[in-house]
Amino acid sequence: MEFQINGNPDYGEVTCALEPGEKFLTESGAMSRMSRSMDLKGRMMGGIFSALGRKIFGGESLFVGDYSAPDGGWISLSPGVPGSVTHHHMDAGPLIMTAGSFLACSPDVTLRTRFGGWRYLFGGEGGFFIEATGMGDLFYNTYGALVEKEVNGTITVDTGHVVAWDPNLAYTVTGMGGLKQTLFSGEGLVLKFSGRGKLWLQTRTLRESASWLSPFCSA
Amino acid sequence: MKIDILKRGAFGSALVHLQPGETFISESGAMFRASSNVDIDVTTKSKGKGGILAGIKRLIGGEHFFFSTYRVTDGSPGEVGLAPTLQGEVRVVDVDPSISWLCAGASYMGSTDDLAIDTQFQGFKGMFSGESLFFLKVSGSGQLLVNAFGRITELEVDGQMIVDTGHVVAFEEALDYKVTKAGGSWVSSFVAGEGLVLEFHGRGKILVQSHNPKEFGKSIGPLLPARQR
Repeated sequence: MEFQINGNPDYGEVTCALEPGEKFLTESGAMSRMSRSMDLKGRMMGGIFSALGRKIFGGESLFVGDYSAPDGGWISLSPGVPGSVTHHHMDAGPLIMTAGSFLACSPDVTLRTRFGGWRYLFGGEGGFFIEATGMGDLFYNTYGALVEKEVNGTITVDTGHVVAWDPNLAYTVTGMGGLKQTLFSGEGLVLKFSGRGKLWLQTRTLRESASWLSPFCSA
Repeated sequence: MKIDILKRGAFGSALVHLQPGETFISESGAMFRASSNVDIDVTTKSKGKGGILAGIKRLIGGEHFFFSTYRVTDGSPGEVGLAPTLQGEVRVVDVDPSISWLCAGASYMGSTDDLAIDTQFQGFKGMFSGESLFFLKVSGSGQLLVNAFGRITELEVDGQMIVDTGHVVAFEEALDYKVTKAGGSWVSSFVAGEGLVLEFHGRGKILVQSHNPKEFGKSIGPLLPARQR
């Protein structure tokens, strides 16, 4: 499969050319245009229960688009939010993504939900992460631009800005300082990473955009 | 008429340079600056077509009832800055008499007054697909100004191509299209979150936008306070 990413950092989209017989899984509703030769099946990701788990706790869609190209073809995908689209080759290692970051993958990538802990669940971020393992190509999207951080030691990050990380990194979901800071600092929950590995962040959060917009919504 | 497009990317806008005797038309609300010698008026009609009925047709099509018109009053040149509501690119399409363009209602930003604008009802095929299928037919010889959510890509269709309804900006009338399902079955298409798409055939140009305003609305909507009635 060949692909080209255009429009980063503000309006990223990806166009993939599929060889005859190749398949491709996408986040629900991500297709913007494609060749007539593509076949589409909607299906639940990995059986009913894990799919339900993702919908309720992961913030992702219950269903994915299952595209195939019996005679070859191409497809363009764009995320629901403006920002960047990033490619991750699974040869570089598995990845854990936050909910809503998944855009598409080749069929040899396995997606599983990972419980992020009760604090994360009640922190309003959804509660589950998505772990990608296997082989092939993975595409994820960010709201705003992507920032790559090489962690060696420990780092504290606002949960809303976290996109993905190397599973070698240990993480805990925690409040910023004590209860007072958590409630009043405006930072809410943070993820504390430690160890060695890569961490990817996004420069905007949908939650903060929404809370800025909220006062202007007519009652 | 000279039209400058200022900035590509997320925050495009247009600067229209008016010579004496020239008139530019835009969707109402698009003007954000104008020289003091520019007279701004409202009208319900474009060249050749118009009147109350055309305004009503536009309303049904999800557009504004009125157009704004701009012309200079004192014999010296003037300029009008136009900006769209959505964040994204703005582009000029040169329309010539041999090929008319169909423009999605939400993407129409303005046009020179020598172009005729007519709301085209797509009849049954447009019924289920929402506002974007009330296309404006733009014909004549002149410049059409379109805007988009995100980036605009110009594609050359030769044969067949599928485009999601939320990504169509404008296309040449030479292209034939039908509203259809994205996948093998209706259930499959809706389950995959795609629903209706446009299937184009023939030969011609199409402008698409990288992002779908509705998808962004669906992403941010649940985080906003509930609408109270």
